[in-house]
Amino acid sequence: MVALLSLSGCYKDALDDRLPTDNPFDREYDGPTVFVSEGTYTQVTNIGPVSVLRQVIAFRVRSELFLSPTPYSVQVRDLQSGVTELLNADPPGSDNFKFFREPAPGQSICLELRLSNNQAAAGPTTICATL
Amino acid sequence: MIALRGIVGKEPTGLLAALVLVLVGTTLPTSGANAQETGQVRFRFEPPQGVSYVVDGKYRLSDREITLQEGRHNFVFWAPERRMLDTALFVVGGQTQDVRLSLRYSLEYVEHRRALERYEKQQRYSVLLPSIATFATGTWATVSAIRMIRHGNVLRDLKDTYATLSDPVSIARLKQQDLPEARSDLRSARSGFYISTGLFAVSTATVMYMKQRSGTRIKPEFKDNEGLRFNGLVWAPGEHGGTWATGLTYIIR
Repeated sequence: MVALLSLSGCYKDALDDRLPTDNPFDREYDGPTVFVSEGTYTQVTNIGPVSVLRQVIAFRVRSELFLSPTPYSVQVRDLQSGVTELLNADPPGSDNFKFFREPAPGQSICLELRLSNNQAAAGPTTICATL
Repeated sequence: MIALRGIVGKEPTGLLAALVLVLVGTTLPTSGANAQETGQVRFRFEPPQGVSYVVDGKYRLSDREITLQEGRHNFVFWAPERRMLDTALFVVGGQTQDVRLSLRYSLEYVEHRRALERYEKQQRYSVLLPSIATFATGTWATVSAIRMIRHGNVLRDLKDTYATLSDPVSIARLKQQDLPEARSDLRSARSGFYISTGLFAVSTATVMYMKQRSGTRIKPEFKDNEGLRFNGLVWAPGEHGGTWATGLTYIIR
């Protein structure tokens, strides 16, 4: 009888109607920001005999916010050009990412970033940088 | 042989009005001829055991066969729980007569049996039924508790799964379908648990109350007043006649 009664208070929290939102891969994630801007700069890249100047927008993923370790990619959409790309870490295995585009000095470039896995993307975060 | 079944029993005070029976196969003597001759009477009683009788107000016996002088003799028969039967028999000299006697239950005993049945019925229903209900609701409460724990574990596992998922589609499905279903199941199981536990508590309290109440109920006891009256009938013969011996029994507990 006592054991039965002691059970009566259990599962009160479990029946809380709120759904969890602390997984960064959740589209409804509302925790601390996952993406951190690392700034923007220009970089000359040699493609054969041709040298190309590109603007780099660097950012970092705070993987410490992940609830469990997991591989991932980042889906990037350039809000000015509308171009969407799927980026892997650079260097591989790190949490650093670089997005390359045509240089736009003095112009604020905004990117919409989403964590991605299995060809599906999580909620968006926007970062902006000006060269 | 003669059967006395159906002879009206009488109180000891009505001995003088006892019925005189002439035994089958014999003839009532018309005179006091051969007065010293004896005859035998063989009894068959219902109930077969425990019957005692007083002959001519003097001797208390329980023999199934007695030898008496020829003539009319008064008998008072009695057995525990039965009514006294006050009657007279005519003993025929030189013969053995079979007498069959059936003693009816005393009114006090019949009333006692009724009271005892009422008591046992009350005891049975006041404790047995709530006990069955308690067992049933207790089983239901236990099953509900197990069901609730099982659904609780499912919900907990789903929450653990949420933390390990890194596929946004799987996370969305978990949140929109699996978790709400598991919550609904757990809610339903918890409602059943509350209801069953409540009923279990009520029936347990009822059993305790009924047990306490039935403990104060006094079991009817049979007081065989017919036996007391019968015991007071014995006459003790003496040199100058005799005296009646009466007895009073008081049960000390």
